[in-house]
Amino acid sequence: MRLPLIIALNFVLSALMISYIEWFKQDEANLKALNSTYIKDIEKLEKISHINQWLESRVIPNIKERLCEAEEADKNLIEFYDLNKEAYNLYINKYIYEGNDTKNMELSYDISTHDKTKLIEFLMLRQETRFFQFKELCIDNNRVVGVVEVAQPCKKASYVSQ
Amino acid sequence: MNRFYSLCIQNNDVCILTVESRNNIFFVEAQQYIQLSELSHFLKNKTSYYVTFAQEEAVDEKILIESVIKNDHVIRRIILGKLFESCVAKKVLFNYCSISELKNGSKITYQVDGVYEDEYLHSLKKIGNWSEIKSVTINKFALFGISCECIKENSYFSIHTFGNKIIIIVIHDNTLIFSREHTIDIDNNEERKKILIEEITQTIAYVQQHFREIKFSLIALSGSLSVDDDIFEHIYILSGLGVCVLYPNTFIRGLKNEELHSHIISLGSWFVPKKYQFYPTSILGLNQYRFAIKILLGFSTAAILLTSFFAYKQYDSYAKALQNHEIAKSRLAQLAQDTKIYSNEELLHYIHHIQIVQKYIQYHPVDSLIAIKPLVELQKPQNISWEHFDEFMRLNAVFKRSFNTLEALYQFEKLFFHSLQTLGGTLYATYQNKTNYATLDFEITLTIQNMKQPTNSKELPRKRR
Repeated sequence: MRLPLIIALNFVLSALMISYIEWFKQDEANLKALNSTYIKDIEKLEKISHINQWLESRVIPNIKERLCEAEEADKNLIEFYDLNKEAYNLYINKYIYEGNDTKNMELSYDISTHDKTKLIEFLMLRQETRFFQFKELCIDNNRVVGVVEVAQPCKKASYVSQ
Repeated sequence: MNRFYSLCIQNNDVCILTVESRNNIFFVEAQQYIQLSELSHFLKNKTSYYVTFAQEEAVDEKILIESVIKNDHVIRRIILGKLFESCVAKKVLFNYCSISELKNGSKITYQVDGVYEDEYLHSLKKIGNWSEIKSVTINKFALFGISCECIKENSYFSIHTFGNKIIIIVIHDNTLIFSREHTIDIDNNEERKKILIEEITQTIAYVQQHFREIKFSLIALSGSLSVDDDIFEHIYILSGLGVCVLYPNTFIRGLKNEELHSHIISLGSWFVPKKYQFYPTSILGLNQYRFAIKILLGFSTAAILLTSFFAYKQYDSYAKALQNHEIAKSRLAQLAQDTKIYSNEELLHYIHHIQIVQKYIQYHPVDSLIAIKPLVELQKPQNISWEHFDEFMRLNAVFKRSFNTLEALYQFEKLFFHSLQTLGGTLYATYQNKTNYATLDFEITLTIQNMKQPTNSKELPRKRR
């Protein structure tokens, strides 16, 4: 009587093992699918982390440096003009006007080609808090003339800086 | 090491030998005599029985059947029919085998040995657990079994006596060709001995006459007969054949010589060939059941082993996947905790700022001037004009030079255009050639811009060798 019981037990255990195999297979497939989603999410997060690093080390400090209030931006532009009008023969083409998150001023300039130091200094003029956008530059034998737009980034009323 | 029980049932008495076999040597551990009624109680919780019965009447017939009939079921039906014809009215358990020497033309002679089922089952019923019966037969076949085991002659007589019974069997080519069981009911010992010798010698003479083609070489004696020298001598003188005594003590241990001879039938019970074992249908069914159970047990064990192995493999694979999952999960949780997620508003603000920066640093006259540096090094431009509005940028440079010889102009042009070809990059360059070859005045207006615009000028690159 014991043998039939053992046989029955063996078959039941075999059936149980088969169902375990099926269960393991199905669960493994689910885990693999979940893992691939996790890996994609990890890759995304790693990418975000890299972008964050770049934002935090390069972009955000830059924004903090350049951004100022609108009134301060006006003052900066005026200060720039007053400081450099004689050196580069600056002439106001367009007085302070609003750009896209910037305050701008369009100036024309006139520099002698013989004064190479000043010319190079002017061409390399890049200040930390503002941008220079050359619109025109003409060089002939004696003079360098053209138009440059000075842009001062400033805060928008709607955005609160971090 | 196997332990089994040899049961010799004689009317209401049962002789039981407890035997252990080791390396083809049989050790008789105990010998007991009990009443048949006590048998089922004795066999409780015991396994492996070899049973032999004393049955006065047995079926011993030679039956002719057409040689074309080969089917076992048909042969059995024919034999049963013929046994019935020869006035065997009782139910019979029988086995049959063909006797090759007695082939008779288109018919084959079958030796049919059997027992009467009712008497047989009556004794067998006392054994409760039939599934443990390994062999069951009657005395003459047990004697046949032990004789074949001890004597390696081809044709011989084996004679056994116990109490007042005598069994004579004739063996040829390991087949029982004749048997006779007889009871001598005489109390006088001398008279009894005389009749016993007569019985034996007459039987031997009958067999020798009946089987003339067989040359018998030996008479093997066993039982009470073997210890009587007078009988021994008389048989030898009267038969003219060699006479010996069965001595199975080379492979059966644990019994003295005299004891061996009183248990010859019991000892022979586990040497009986299949063809001389008579199983009732129920025992056959039980045997088939046991066989099926063994097959199923093997199959189920193999199934459990295989499925366990594959389940383990699958589990191992699953465990690895689970481990990877846990690693990925914890890594994801760590990253999710460590990674700052900026709001869309913040990100849009940063993007907007980056776009402003990009807009203002994208085009600078110096970048364009650096692009034409190889040409400037060759010939300083007469004038340069650079302009930029929205996304458009353009640089115009006028190169002029006068030459005294055409050769010099040619060489200069070659160098100039070679340098012009190396400009490349993302800029789109065109030029207008206004050189006056009559006056040897070189003049080219070069235009560099960031996007293609319709123009009448020639496009670069120009190949000149």
